[in-house]
Amino acid sequence: MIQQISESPWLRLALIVIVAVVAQMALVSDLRISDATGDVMLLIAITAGLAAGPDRGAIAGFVAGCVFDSVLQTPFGLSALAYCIVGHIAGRITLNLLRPIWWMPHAVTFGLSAFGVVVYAIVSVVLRDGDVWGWQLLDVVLVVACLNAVLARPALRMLRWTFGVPAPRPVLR
Amino acid sequence: MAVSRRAGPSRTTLLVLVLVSVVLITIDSKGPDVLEPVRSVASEVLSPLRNGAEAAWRPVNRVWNGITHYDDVKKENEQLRADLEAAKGKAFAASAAEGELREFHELFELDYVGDYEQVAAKVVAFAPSNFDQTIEIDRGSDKGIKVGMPVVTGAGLLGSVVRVTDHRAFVRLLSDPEFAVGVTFPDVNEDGVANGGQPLQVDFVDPGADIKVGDEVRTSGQEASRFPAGINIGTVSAVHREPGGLQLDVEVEPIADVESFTIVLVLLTRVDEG
Repeated sequence: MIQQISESPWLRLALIVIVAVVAQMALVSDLRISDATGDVMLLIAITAGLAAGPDRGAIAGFVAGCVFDSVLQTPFGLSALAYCIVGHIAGRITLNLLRPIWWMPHAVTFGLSAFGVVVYAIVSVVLRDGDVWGWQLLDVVLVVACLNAVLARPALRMLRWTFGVPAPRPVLR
Repeated sequence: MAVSRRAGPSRTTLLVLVLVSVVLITIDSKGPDVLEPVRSVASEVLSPLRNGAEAAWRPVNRVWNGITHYDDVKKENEQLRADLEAAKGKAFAASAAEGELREFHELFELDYVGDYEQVAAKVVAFAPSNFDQTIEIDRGSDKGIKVGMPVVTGAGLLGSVVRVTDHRAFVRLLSDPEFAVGVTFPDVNEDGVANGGQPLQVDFVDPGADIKVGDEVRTSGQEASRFPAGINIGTVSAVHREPGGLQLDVEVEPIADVESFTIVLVLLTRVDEG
């Protein structure tokens, strides 16, 4: 089993997603600032895209979203939809970068986390006919974006291991 | 962040995944039973892992809460002392009023909150997402809890049961946009329908109704409502009168504070018959 996990990127992804959802449920969701909590499942989608490109980013986002949806009481597929889009965009940003810069993963993760929350909120408003804007959306965007930006580096390292992608040499400026 | 360009970006993968997501959302919207097995398996697999992680994390969580909520707890303690003194004075008058209210509901053959059996349950978890307005309680179908049953605190209505397993139940809170409940304004004898949110938005209120900020709001219990009459919901926080409007826009601040309770009561109402 351990050997299978070490050889298959998809089994490694499954392991990472399970660890992430347990961390989200048991740890991250308890650490609230202004009634908002972080979202490490979104972080998985973004860093998968940054590490392995748009296809794998979208797939990782979809898988992470589906697993997250299975523990939520919101419509099943809502997180999967938002996260696969964000994972894909993260991958496309990576492909368009000419040279890697050390702070870029943090900045991209911050921006895409904010974007992911807004995408989720818009889809949620459309599907659920509710007023998500009243839910302190700005607080949620800031908390999720800041936490994910801080965790971007270790998460990126994990997702590179997951997909067997070597780390590029950073360019210091 | 260098990635091989060999495979190239593929919009096909994204399109397929988006389509699958939309199909899943559509299937789930047809009824909660279709994807319930998936949620049940996830719950069975992840619950032990979650419990273990929570036990290990608890000391850190306490320190965090001590740091981030110390001032709130101090203020809340002072407020609670003041409220307790006020409540002592009101208790005597309330018991007499409750007797009158029960007679009123019997007269009009309305279900009254005191008519139902109650199951006390402990809140074991809040939703792990910012957009999921639910809580998890430690009582389930083995205690007679069913989907749709109202959940209250000592202060008032908290929400209703949205999903049940053998030993656990999930409660949709008043703040969820999918929540709706028939309400009445006892001070002016007007009815409406409150929709979930922060604050609650009440629709279908007569534009000529003399509703004021601070008026009490309770469940109406009328017609096929899942909620018995007389449960406190909150107080009116804003009233918007538009010239020529067909209804009054009323905002209600819920009385039950979502974050300050650990024990809730599930009212075992007749949801199957409704």
